[in-house]
Amino acid sequence: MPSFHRSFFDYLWIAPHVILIAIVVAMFAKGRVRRFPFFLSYCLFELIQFAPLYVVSRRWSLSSLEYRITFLLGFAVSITLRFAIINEVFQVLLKPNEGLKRLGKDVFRFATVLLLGLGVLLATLHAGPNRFLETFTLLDRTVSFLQCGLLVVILAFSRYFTILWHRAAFGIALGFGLDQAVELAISALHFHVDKKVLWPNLLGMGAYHCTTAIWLIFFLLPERRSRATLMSASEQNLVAWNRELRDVGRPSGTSESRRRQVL
Amino acid sequence: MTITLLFVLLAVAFVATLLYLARGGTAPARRGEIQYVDMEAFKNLMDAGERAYLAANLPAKEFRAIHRERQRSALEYIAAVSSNASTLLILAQEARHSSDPEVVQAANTMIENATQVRVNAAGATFRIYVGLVLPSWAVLPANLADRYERLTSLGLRLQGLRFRSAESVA
Repeated sequence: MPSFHRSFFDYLWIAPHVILIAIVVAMFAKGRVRRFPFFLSYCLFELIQFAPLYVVSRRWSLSSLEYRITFLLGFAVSITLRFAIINEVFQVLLKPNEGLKRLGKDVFRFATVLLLGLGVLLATLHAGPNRFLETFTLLDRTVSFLQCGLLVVILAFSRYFTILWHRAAFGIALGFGLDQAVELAISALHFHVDKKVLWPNLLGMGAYHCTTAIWLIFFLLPERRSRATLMSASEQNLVAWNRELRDVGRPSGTSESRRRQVL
Repeated sequence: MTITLLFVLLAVAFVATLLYLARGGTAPARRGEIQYVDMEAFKNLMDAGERAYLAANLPAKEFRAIHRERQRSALEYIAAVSSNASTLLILAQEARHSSDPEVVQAANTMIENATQVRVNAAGATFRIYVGLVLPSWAVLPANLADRYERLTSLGLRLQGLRFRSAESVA
């Protein structure tokens, strides 16, 4: 690997972990640890995992057995934590909305089963050689598909019910979603790109770098519960609703009679 | 290669959907608008008895034409009701942070009602579309109009409470 590429590779590997340290500090400083325990565990795990992986890759090679074993163990824990975080984000979203909890859980379960079924179906369509690396890539692709789908479902659910997000939770969901979407494309391309080609790896690392930056930005922003236009209690609102109620029972009929009123 | 292309397109679609869902949007609810709903007409459209009456008293061809027109109007009304419920959800979520416990309680009640209206509205829309193929599915939930009426009362009450609360602070 040319020295420039090596330096860029090292930067993309190290920088997200430096940002993760900043996120952990921000979480403690802003008292968000209790709200996002799985996300904190994920950040700490990624940091702990980074050190041995980096050392192994420096001392041996990226294709060495030691590296693969360490990477795969880390990958398994990372996947578990990522699913826990998605569930955590959804719980944070539903917590103040008692009326939506049951419906939300049902939608989440249904979406999980549906996406898992689809993911497995798509995985069986792959007719490549059943080698270790291919199996791992296939698993990675299915997981990315499932996690991406769940995040889209959560965002769609919150949008339909106009649930106001905590900024940090929103940042986590958005960051993970973008990262997993890139990961999905890369894991699919892995079957057709020469293993020695660097750009898919660099693209994935770049996406993760952006993801950690998004998380940090959303953790540093002051907490505001709404992204949407909020209305204030004003006399104008009262007038509009008074009119709405007064008109109940007044016959007219067609859709043309409906008129828009600004609150 | 086809599967790979499919996944790459899926990834692009995921990113586009995430970004679309993440941005604020320009829906009426997010602009803080409400749409006027003629409740009498809405109740009439949702009334299964009215549908049965028309079916029994009109020639089949005429009934089908009128029924289609009624279903189309019902869809417009349901969309307006759903949008208004969404506006009230935003309002109630904001009101829940009030220091006045009465306002908080009213806001929580309104959130539950507005959520139910949104769920019922989605169900009713689904039924209307399925009803185009399977007419037996076209029976609309009669309680949607009542729930919406109750929601507008709650909205008025909440605004009144907030107005009173703001006046007492001033």
